[in-house]
Amino acid sequence: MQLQNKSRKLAARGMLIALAFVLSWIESQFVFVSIAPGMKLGLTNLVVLIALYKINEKEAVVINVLRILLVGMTFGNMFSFIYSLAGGLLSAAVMILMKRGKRFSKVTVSVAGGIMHNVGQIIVAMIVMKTTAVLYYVFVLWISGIVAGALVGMLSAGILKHLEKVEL
Amino acid sequence: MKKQDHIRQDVNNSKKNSYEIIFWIVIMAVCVVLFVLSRFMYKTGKYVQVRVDGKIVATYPLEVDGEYTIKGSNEGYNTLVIEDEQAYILEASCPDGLCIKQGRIHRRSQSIICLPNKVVVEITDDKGESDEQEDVDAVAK
Ligand SMILES: [Zn+2]
Repeated sequence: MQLQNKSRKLAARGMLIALAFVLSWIESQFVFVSIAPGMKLGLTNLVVLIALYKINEKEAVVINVLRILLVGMTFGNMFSFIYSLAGGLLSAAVMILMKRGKRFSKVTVSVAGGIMHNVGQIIVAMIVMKTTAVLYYVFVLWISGIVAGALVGMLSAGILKHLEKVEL
Repeated sequence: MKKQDHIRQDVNNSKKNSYEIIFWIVIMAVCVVLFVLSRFMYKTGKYVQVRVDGKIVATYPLEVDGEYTIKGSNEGYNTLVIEDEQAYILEASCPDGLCIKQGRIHRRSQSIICLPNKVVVEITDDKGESDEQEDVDAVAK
């Protein structure tokens, strides 16, 4: 029984990482061409949200970091890797804090995560390129963060509802 | 007992809602500020500034048409074209070619970035301090 439990848990985490991997691949196909190459929408926050609400904070961070490493090794370059690291960690940190506050809905938490994902990437772009020119795009990235965050939030709220009776 | 629970939940919900409202007010306020700022930066700039690895290597006036070769890092190159007060990358050695796809720019603070070559082409209003200013005529083809 104990073993069964353990392997089920492992399988669930494996599935989440696989899902994150697929989402990463999808978003790598749409480039914000006119913004900075290598930036992502932050669709993988879907997996972070599910892990955060369904499992726990630690696991959400671990799954996120594993996802970033795996994707970086498979189809990224150095720049897209540091972009996703900065965006992924900053958005996860903000989502964890907002969830802890217990005052916000999942969609709102996700919107904050989407915005922070882009803010993290912008900060890295400024450091990497040694320029503040990317600041011009902050408005566009702010809006796209809200939209992507809202979509991801609604989707994960729906998925979490279906998973209500399932234990991960 | 049950009624009390309901009341407590209602109180909790309204508390939750007011935090949500504050959140969205802040998010939208930042939105407006960013919009105004980007509008302010929308004006057509005067110069095209070229940076390689953070150092300004050349500044060209946006009014003067020309084609220039930028020597990027790792032996890479980008061909910058200024035409009709717009700047764009015509050709580049980078494998992704994203700098070419970024299209034409002319507004202050807009930029074209080529990550592999560490090249940033930015529209500015002042000539700026050059680190190793090349003679504009020498690189013009
Ligand atoms: Zn390029």
